[in-house]
Amino acid sequence: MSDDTAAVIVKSPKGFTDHKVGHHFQTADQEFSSAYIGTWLFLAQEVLFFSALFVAYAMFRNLYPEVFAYGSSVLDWKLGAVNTLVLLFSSFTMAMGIRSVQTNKMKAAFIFLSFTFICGLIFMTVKYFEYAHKIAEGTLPYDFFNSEISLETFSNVAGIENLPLFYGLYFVFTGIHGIHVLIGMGLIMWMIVKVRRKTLFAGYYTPVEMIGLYWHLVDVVWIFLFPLLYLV
Amino acid sequence: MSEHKIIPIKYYLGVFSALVLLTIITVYTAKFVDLGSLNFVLAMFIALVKVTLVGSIFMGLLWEKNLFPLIFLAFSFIIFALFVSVSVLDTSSRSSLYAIESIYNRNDSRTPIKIDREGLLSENDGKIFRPRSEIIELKEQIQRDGIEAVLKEIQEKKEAQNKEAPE
Repeated sequence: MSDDTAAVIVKSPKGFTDHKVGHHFQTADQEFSSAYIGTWLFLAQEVLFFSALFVAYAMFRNLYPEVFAYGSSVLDWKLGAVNTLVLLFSSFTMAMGIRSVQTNKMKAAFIFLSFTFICGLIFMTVKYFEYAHKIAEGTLPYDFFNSEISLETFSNVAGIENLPLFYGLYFVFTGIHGIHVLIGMGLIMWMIVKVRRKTLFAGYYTPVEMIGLYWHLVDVVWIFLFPLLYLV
Repeated sequence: MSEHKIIPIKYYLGVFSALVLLTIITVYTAKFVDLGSLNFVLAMFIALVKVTLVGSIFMGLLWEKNLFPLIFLAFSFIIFALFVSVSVLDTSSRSSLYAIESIYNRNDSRTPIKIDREGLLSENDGKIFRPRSEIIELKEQIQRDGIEAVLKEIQEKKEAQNKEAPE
């Protein structure tokens, strides 16, 4: 029986560090599928987590369609479109990064993951300028709303006094999404370090695959957010 | 990971270009083509196509033999659809509950202050909607003059507003 307790080792190519499979797993495959199923369970939970915000959006849009039409026409759709393209590109580089790890191309993996990180950085920078602009204009949620100008100029829009509601949704939606992007950036930085230290290779790429799935989900949420907030 | 396929680069490149193209189509149709309410449906449909592409190629679900991801996702989306449909059914049918939806004289009647058929005033807690003093004043007015008189006055105000507004 003593042989059963010996750790399973995934042999790595020369220059890499071998991966020791967790002692509670029997095989490397079992370890991978556990992480895989757990990650998808987490992603399903994330969908439900964001669904609360989508429901709030659906209800208030249904109640005040004119306010939402006005609110989204005020947002800068060009910045939103740039951010969409940046996130789509980062998803592409993430997928390529994982593929590079799977094929032991560590230099390419490093470059692709760095690009993904930089894309996240660009996304957050654009977001920062959008937020700064809104704070300067006073188009903020609830009691913080102090932009008399837009309410007076557009008093012909029915129910315009509910405009702060739109900005409430805008800030909570993009804020929570932004926090996800920041967390993703931190995780990708961790993966870049792992790639540099050569602890990931074709036989063991579990963390980078799981973080990739998470990053794609963040992209998926933005794919819906962009038209809902900026366009329609 | 024996069953894990290495996906050819051409798939990733193809999906990325398709996503960029679909983004351009979304922006173009939403900003420069007026389809009425179809604009919303179209934007959501394109978003769904994009998400399917990301899920099947970037996330590799197309080649995945493990069924758990699909089961989890199906569960999430069924619950999600339930949330949205029930809420929208509620908000879109609520107006029939109230004799008068708005005490304010806007053409639109969807402000959150409502008078129900019993003449009771319900108010929203958010300060942004209406000053509390106005609500209290109206409540007192209803108690003093009765609901009929107040409703009539609001109706007259609304009609006057409608006349003023250019057609």
